[in-house]
Amino acid sequence: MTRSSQWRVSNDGSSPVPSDPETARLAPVSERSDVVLARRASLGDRYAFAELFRRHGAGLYRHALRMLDGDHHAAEDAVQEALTKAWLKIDTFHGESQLRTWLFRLLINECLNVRRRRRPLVVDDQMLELLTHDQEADPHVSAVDQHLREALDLALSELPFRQRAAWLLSEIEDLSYAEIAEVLRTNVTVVRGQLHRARSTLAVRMAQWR
Amino acid sequence: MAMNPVHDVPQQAPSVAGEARLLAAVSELRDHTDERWVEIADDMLVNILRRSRPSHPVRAETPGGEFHVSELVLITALRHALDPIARCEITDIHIHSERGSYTGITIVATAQIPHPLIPMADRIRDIAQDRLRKILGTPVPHVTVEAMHVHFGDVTKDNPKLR
Repeated sequence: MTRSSQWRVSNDGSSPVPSDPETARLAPVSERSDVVLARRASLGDRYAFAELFRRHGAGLYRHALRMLDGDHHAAEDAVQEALTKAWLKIDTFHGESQLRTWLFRLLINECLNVRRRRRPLVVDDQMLELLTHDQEADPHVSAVDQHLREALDLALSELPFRQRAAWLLSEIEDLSYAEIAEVLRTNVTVVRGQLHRARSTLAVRMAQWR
Repeated sequence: MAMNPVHDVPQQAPSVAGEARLLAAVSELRDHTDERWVEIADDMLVNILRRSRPSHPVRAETPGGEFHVSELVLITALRHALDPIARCEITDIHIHSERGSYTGITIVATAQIPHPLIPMADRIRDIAQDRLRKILGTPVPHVTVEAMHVHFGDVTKDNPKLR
């Protein structure tokens, strides 16, 4: 077996990352909490980190993609940088916050770095038009769902960075207001305001979807 | 006329239809896994785990000469040596050194009670001492409570996860 296939990531949850053969006596990594896995990873346990990667990687990528306006390459770079920092500095995570919150904070910093490096996004006509959907051309429900998601992505791309981050962390990633405040280095009152504005804007934009 | 939808939109009242569509889109997005992620995840994990953490060197001596071992290598070797101990899980290892020479170690563990802790701590010390001597050579300080501190940071009862 190659090293690569040993670390294989299962996204459907059907085949969790195996335990380190030398620690087979301990509970499988898939049964351990994030905090325990983080401690093990800080001791150099790659299997523990691989399980953390499996649990949180897809969510981090989904978030990065929406924060970086659908740019897959930029999102990939941001997630890889954030998770590399997590692997290299996991001994600095002492469990004061949820591991997930810590990972999202690393990711937001990387997304901000990417945005600082690139040129401002030119607003094209598509963003200024009403969101449209031709239901006649897409009779299947799955196609409708896809268009709905695309409409949401488009509406999200119009939100300011912090409103977008707060909304995604709350509605998609289920973080509490306090956790979002920690990720965005602000306070709960500010988060509440950002969420209110983001929800109003998105609801209006989605109402225009036909 | 120039339009900026970001600023225009909040002045309108969100409709029931808009909120319903937003809810449906949220549900769709939550369940969605980006195809690109499925394609890149394995390679990304391999790339990340290939990176080595910066770590202090610890001096080792053998009859053949002197060399240095990374603190992280020592920690990984100790973890592998200590993991097989029953009813105990190692949660942290700190190597103490002075001017690059090993001076002591603190090992933090979670133990299952009512299993006696003192014999377990002695076993941890013995195994760690043996492994350190194999890696660093003879100058490893003898087993003393001061030089090799074992700390039980947590205990658990009837925890099937700690067999």
